[in-house]
Amino acid sequence: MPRSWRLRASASGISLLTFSGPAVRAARRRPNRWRSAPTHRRREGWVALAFVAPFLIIFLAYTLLPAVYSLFFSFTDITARDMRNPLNVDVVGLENFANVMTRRDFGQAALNTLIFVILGAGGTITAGLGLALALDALLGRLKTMLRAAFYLPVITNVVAAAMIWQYALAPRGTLDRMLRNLGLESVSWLDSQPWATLAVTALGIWRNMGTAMVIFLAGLQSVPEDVQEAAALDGAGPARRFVSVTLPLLIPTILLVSVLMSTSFMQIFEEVYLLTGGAPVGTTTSLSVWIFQQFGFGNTAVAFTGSFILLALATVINLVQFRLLRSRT
Amino acid sequence: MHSAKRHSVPAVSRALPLLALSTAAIVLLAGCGRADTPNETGGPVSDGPATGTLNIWAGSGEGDVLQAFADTFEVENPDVSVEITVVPQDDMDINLQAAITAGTTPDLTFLYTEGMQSWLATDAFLPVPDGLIDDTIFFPATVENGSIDGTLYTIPWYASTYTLLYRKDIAAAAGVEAPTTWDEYVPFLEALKEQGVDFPTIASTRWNSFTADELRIIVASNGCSLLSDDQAEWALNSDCVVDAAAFWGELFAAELVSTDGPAFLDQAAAFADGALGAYIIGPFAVSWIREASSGEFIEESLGATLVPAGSAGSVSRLSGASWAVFADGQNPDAAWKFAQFMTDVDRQVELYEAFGSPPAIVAAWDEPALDTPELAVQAEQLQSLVLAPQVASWNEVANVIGQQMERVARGLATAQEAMDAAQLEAESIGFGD
Repeated sequence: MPRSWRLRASASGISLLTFSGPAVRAARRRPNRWRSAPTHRRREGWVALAFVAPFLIIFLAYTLLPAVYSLFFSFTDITARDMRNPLNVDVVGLENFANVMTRRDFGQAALNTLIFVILGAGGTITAGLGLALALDALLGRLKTMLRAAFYLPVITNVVAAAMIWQYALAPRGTLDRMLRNLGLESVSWLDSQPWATLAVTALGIWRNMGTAMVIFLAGLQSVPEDVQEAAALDGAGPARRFVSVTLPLLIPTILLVSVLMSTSFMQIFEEVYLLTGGAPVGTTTSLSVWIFQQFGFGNTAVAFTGSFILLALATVINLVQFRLLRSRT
Repeated sequence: MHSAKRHSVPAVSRALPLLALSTAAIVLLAGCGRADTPNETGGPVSDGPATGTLNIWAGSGEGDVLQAFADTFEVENPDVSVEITVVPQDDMDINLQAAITAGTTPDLTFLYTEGMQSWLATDAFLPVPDGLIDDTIFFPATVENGSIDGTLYTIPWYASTYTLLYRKDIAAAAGVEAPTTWDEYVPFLEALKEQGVDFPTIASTRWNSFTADELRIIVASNGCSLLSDDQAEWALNSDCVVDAAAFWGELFAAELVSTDGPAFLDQAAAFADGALGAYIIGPFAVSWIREASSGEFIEESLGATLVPAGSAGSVSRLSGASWAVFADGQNPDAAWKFAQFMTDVDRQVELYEAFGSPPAIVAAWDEPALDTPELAVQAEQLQSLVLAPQVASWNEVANVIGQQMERVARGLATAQEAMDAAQLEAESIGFGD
């Protein structure tokens, strides 16, 4: 490999090869009159705009404008009945935000969501890293087959998956029958705590661990083989090599997966909606489900307000994680 | 080290988007303000057959049998095309809400009795045109439930109520008669339990609105209401309501009801198996039990009686559905004609035969097809009903009641504590006016 090719570990842990030889550096310094011509820059600008236009249009129509619309109406008393005359509402300032943040059910949903984030993101990272390490040690066709098998939950229809989970965890369901056959007490998996929270979290982990596994597998490729070999020559066993070599080099990847999974579990909806519906006594109702319920009750402004509080919470959590990510890389 | 020249954006350019947003917000704010908007009128309906495309959204269940009626309607109205979209029951509310919000409603749907007032409060539906139907042919409660301030918005389709179904063979073996009062109900269930029945009865702890419906039946039979005497505020922590909630909770404490009871769709099979001894349920359950068992079983084992009585007698709740035409629909004329078509006595009997939903038209109950012991009890119970509170926020308050009742069922709160908490939340929700 020529010296000018450098191996770099990106924030995602994926190796990048960049060319940085002297000729290239000289070319970068050389002024290019033709390229700096304003007409050319304008043309380049239009071409660039044409490329991003499809995304921009969809983003504007389905994300930015609805977000601005809902942010505006979160300061009003709009309800479902006002939707046919949306300007026929009163502006109430920050009243909705004050009301929502003091509501018992919103507080319960926020706490539930925090538990899902901690358990779910932690569990997904552990499961994804464990699978990646196990697969990384394998070779050949078995590795490919297992990688595909563990990734399957990511592309499986969540409704179908949740139905199967529900059938297995329901009273007198598969798991319950197995326990009874073993002479054990049956457990109300979906209707008692802590089992309901654990069941919802487990479904979330099952859905996401394939994504985490793929990212960790890519991250493991950036761990230099020679460092591992040097550690082995120095007498470090597999556990010591993992703790002292692999894990420190994987920290950027772990933080990236942590950001992705925290965001995913902050918005957890399908798992709750399909598996427990929020039971028992609202202890599995997530913020997304709460917002959905408010929308169903016709409390449009309250639902909008809840959405922006969720966005703010997710932003804070992500900012903290990004700060950690930056300091460790 | 060479550094690329940064193109600085003039301060004016940077401020422009902010300025534009602020201006837009001020314009919008200036345009805001509540003003009375007159309700749209629902008529008149044209003479002659229906034409064009008629879009109907139907909840699954009844929706599955609706196509046969639509086919007949198309034969009678050759220039109309009926498009039925069957929506899963659990998703119906959110689909309707989204359609109303986006102004992309179909022409026609049927609304279930329990949430009807909340839906009508959205102003998304047209009043029934004058002279289209004779509303005196229906059970009065169905007309009252579909009206706001005396204006009828829905055309009743089917009507029923909840009665007590019980295993009369197990009751006979236990030496007990069907209970006629709530006081007799507990020893009756205990006797069924002694016969080895897993679940003497069931109560809802998973569907909050159902739980609230169960409470309001007991409350009404005790002669009181979830609203204050002047109907001006919620009265969820009145002594009468708390007593009703406590009675409901004691059934759980005595292990006559379990939070792990059979799920809604498994109840008929559990009843046929003898795992479930008795339950207060609608007439549709009879056809489900029939499917889960043999004809002889119905004859020998199925008993039906009125809901146990309190101090105000036996009271149950109205159940059923009514047709409602969307104000944003494209073909209200055909929608009204289809709703009117479905009020024919023969069609209401056909619906009962196809799905087990009894007619909303009083006279249709005299038809031979409806001459069964279970429907005779239904007909008697339909004379004594309590409607859901006629306020827009009922769905939301019912959800609060259900959540708090679940705490009672699980022994996490006393009835007084739960109803105090429910009252507090209901007061903050108000009536949704």
